[in-house]
Amino acid sequence: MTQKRAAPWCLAGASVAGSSHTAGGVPCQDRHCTRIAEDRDGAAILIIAVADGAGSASQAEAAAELAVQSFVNAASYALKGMPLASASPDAGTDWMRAARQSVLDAAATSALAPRDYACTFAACVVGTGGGLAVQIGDGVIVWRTAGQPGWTLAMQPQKGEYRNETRFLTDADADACMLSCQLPAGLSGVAVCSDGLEDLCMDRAAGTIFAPFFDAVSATILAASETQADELPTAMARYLASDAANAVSDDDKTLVVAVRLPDQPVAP
Amino acid sequence: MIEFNPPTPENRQPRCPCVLVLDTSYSMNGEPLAKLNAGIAGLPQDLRSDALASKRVEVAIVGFPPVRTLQDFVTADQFSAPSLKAGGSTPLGAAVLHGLDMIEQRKAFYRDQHLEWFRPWLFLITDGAPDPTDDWRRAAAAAKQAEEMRKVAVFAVAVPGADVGVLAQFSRNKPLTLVDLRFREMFQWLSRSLRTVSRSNAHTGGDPDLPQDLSGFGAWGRP
Repeated sequence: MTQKRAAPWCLAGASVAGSSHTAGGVPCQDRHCTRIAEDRDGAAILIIAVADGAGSASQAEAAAELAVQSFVNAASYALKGMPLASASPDAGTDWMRAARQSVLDAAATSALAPRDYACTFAACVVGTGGGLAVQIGDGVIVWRTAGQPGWTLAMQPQKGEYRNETRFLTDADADACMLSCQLPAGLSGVAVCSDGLEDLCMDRAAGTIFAPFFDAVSATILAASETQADELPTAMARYLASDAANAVSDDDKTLVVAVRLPDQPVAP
Repeated sequence: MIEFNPPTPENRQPRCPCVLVLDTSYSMNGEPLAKLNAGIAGLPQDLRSDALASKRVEVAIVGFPPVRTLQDFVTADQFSAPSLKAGGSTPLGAAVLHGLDMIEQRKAFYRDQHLEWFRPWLFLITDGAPDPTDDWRRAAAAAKQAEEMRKVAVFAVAVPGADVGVLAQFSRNKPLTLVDLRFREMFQWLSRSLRTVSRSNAHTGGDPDLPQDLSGFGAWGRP
């Protein structure tokens, strides 16, 4: 669970086991990590990373945890030496490669195969002047800008021919499959989810974002940001574990939503 | 307390409607009804084991007597089986007409919602002969005509004791006779068939043909 009230963002995030995992005695294999870092120029930079350990991977949870931590560390470290504005999407891909390498190293250290550490990965790095997003696999990253209605899907989730196929950070050809994109300036909201959220927040048939979902979640965050921000992660976990959410998707679910707080009025 | 309660996208999957028309007349009392109840109780689980079918297959239940809607159309992910009680006579024709009516109403709903659909199924299960006052011939003609116009596919299952000759009038598909009250196996077959149909690509408002392979009823029925 994650909660930070570090201006100018208010976040709510949680990773919870889906009912199919609970029923099968399988733990939650999703992980997320968030941080408000500072770039070289002292600007607050929001970093969100989400990984979904593959059900077939023996070290799924460990892999997902390692991937999100490594990415956030790599990005924070790199940004100490540069402003986010000068970080291209390729820099984001470099940080994702660093996460991949940590996971592969862990597999090698444990004398296990990369597939034992298979996980999907999605992350965004955001400042006031824009940012970047990266992903491999079927995670979902969405954003909106101030004053504009609607939410935009950063990149299409990667799917295989079958519903249970996707791309993993540990795939031999992961490098060629890594996606990255620039995010525009003036973001007022951004969210990263695992594929367990897809049926809750996307219109699958149309392949589009179901904006009312994110509108409602971000409105709840904004309403709670002043006095109840501490309770947001628990509330998010409660929602993700609810019967209502599990009725739509029984997979593990991670949802991290960050809302940019309105500028405080300046005293005359 | 903070509550996240966001709306979720509507289910826009094409629908595969199936109305079960179930005889609960007095003669079904005892073991037949107990097994019918046990059989139907497993149907929601069977359908929900298939994520797509659970969003596409819609089940409705007509019970008789008296003829009434026990369950209006609902997608499998929201379907729970009713517990049936026996008693009364056999208004077979009236029950089938009620089922056909529900199907047409449901299609109107799909049209209104711009949803696509598969050809609806009407699945009739009875152990008796129609009441003397029941205009079953009109109902049988209506069912057969609807079938010929590809508005519906009708399947009749005869529980031993049923008038198979009457049932044969309701569909161009020959009625199947239930063996050893194997309702559980019958509903498993129904679930498998609906799952197969709901996965087929031929779904439009234009009532496509059913898949030809609806065999595999050997585990529970004989022609």
